[in-house]
Amino acid sequence: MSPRAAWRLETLGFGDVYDYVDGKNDWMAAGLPTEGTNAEHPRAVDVVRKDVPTCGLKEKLGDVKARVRAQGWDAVVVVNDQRVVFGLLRSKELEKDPELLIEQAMRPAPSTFRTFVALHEMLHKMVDHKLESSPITTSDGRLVGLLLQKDVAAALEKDK
Amino acid sequence: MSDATAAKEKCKGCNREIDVCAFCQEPECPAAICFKCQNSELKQTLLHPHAHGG
Repeated sequence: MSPRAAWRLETLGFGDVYDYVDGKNDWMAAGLPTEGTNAEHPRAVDVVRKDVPTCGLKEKLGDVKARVRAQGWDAVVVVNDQRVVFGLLRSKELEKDPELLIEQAMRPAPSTFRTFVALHEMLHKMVDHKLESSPITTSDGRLVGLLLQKDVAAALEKDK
Repeated sequence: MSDATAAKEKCKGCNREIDVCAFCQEPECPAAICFKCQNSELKQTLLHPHAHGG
């Protein structure tokens, strides 16, 4: 909250008040809970698949593909040891030459989205752009998970 | 070597020329959008009218 709001809350008797300097969006991007009327709308954090498989730049595509398919996925996110997103492989990229390194086969620097993005807005965009999945990250680029279009559609249908 | 004559895409939000769609990064995207419009539409950024907060 803003510094002024924090000071005002203290005058109203709240004793445990902090000014979150990086702002509300950063708080929400980290997947932390919020309250209020806006918090009632379904957001990416509600359905993001945190169990999405990951791999490193120097792995061989054939090895990664076998691992990913065995887990029932057709997408994998390329990250470093800090889980910062470097790339993405969807089904099209997974079908490339299995001898390639991941860094040669991946879709580099994919667009990423924050956890607080409203599902109805993401669904609209994912349909328009024919995207089956999109990576969700924190403000500093660390992977939260993969948002699947089918999960977004199902969640919105359930929310009606 | 880049082809200087290649037609660039235009953002469907603000109509400015962009190299690639910020959302899907696919060439010749029919719904191409720039980063600024995308972040605005998805409300991924907030305006900060006062540097001191408030």
